[in-house]
Amino acid sequence: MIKVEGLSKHYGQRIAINDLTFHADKGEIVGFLGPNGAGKTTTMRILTGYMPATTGSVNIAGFDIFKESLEARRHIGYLPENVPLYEDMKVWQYLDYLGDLRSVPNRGERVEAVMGLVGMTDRAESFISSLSKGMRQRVGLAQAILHQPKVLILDEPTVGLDPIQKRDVLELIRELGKDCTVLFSTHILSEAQAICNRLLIINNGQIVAEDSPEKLQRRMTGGERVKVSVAGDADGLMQLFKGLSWLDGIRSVSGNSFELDLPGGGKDMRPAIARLVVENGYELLELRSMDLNLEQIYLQLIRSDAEAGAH
Amino acid sequence: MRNMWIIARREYGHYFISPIAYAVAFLLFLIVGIIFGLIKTQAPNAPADLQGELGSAMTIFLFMTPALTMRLLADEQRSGTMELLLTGPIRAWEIVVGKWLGAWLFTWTLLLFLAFVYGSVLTAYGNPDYGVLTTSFIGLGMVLGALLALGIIGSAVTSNLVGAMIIGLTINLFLWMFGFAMEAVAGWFSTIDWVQKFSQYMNFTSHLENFQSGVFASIDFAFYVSIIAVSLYLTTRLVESRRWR
Repeated sequence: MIKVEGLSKHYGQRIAINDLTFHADKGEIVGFLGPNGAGKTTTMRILTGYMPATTGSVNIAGFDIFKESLEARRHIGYLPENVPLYEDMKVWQYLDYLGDLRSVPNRGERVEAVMGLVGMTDRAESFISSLSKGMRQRVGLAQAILHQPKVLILDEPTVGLDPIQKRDVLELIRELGKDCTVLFSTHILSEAQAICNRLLIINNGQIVAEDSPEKLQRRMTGGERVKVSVAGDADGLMQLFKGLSWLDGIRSVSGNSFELDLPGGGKDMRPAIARLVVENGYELLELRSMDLNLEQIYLQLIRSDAEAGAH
Repeated sequence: MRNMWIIARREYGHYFISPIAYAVAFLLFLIVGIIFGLIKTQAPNAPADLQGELGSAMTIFLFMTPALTMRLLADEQRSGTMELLLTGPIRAWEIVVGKWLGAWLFTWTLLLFLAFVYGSVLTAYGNPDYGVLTTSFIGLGMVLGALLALGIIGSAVTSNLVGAMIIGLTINLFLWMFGFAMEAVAGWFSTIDWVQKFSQYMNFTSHLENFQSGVFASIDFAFYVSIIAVSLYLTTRLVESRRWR
């Protein structure tokens, strides 16, 4: 449904996104994660045909967004980051107007249905200027799904919502994801984990990781990565760790500290590590679970990205 | 094409809830009313026409059309809804022409109101030439179409409303003055035929005067239509260029 190949966007000297390649299939919900300024919005704007790319191709529902822009745009529902609304319209008028522009069949019924989906039926007669942030977000979402698009692109749809609204919106996205392809951006990992089949992590305009939430979590979140520091020379210990086939990854942080990736599965392997260190005559200074937050995951991914680039 | 009408309808409707549009209408009706009263009472035997009244209406529009056009595109840009329109299945020209058309239809509403009121008064107290009255209003409508199309350029250049209005005003006044400048140029080169013709063609007000004297010539139409076409084309390119920046 969404196929992106070698997508780059340069603003003069600055490279906003660099050589992105990814895809999203029908019925998939793909989370697009990254810190602010990573290139999420730029990517989405290119995907929706709002901006051209410097190089690369984008295919939406079988149509090239650059060459068959109008056709491709018919299949996209898009909620931009700043939720564009006409303040002077009532909720139903706004949806009716956009539905008209998109030639939605049985417009009246569809507008009713969509307002029901986002829980705005009782505010249909309210002027948009009088709505709260959460309601505006929901009207924006209603607009995006109005024409039953095959591809739904949502730029930070949960920003500014309270926890209950957030849960409702995520539930709605999950529901919508059954019939269409959803790409949504966020910088909150837990949100993405809750509903996504796949996560794309982007930083500095590059994809630094792409995996299912479970795999990424196992790769990166707390409890399963431990930091080990020992006294003295640790080269021998590195060899010892390398000999452990059940470790998922070993990284030397400094001369005598290591980060070990332990496999998931519930069994706490820390005692085994401690025993190994002590039995081999090293003095254990620290053995600590690393509780990674998203920021650290980014940093870590970028670091490994840079290391990979250096080799 | 369909989208163009949908946008035009929305913009047309929007003027009826816009205080600026009411202010423009108020000023127009007030000034035309005063001038009508003055002319008809000062010269009771004047012909039953609206020459002077509609000439002054044109001057009012010269200053007021930028107020009607300033928000058309600038507001969409400012509120981000332009992103919504341009990522929908809508072409840039449909947005631009639809907006212009909405504004033009609104000003036609004002003109028809004037035509009805003063047409009735002239009929009641005199014996007007309906042909001349009709061409006068059509001429003014064409001038308005051109002024609105010029104003919308300003609205595409900036997302700032005041900026959009000032740019529109500058373009309008420049074009108006340009007509006078061309008259001067024509005076200097009075022997060269094509300069004469060119200066006559480029005069913004002389074409309206033809309409007002009951002349219905294709060249006068062509002048205003070409201004409309060039302005709307330019505006469309400006809107498209926003996304390529």
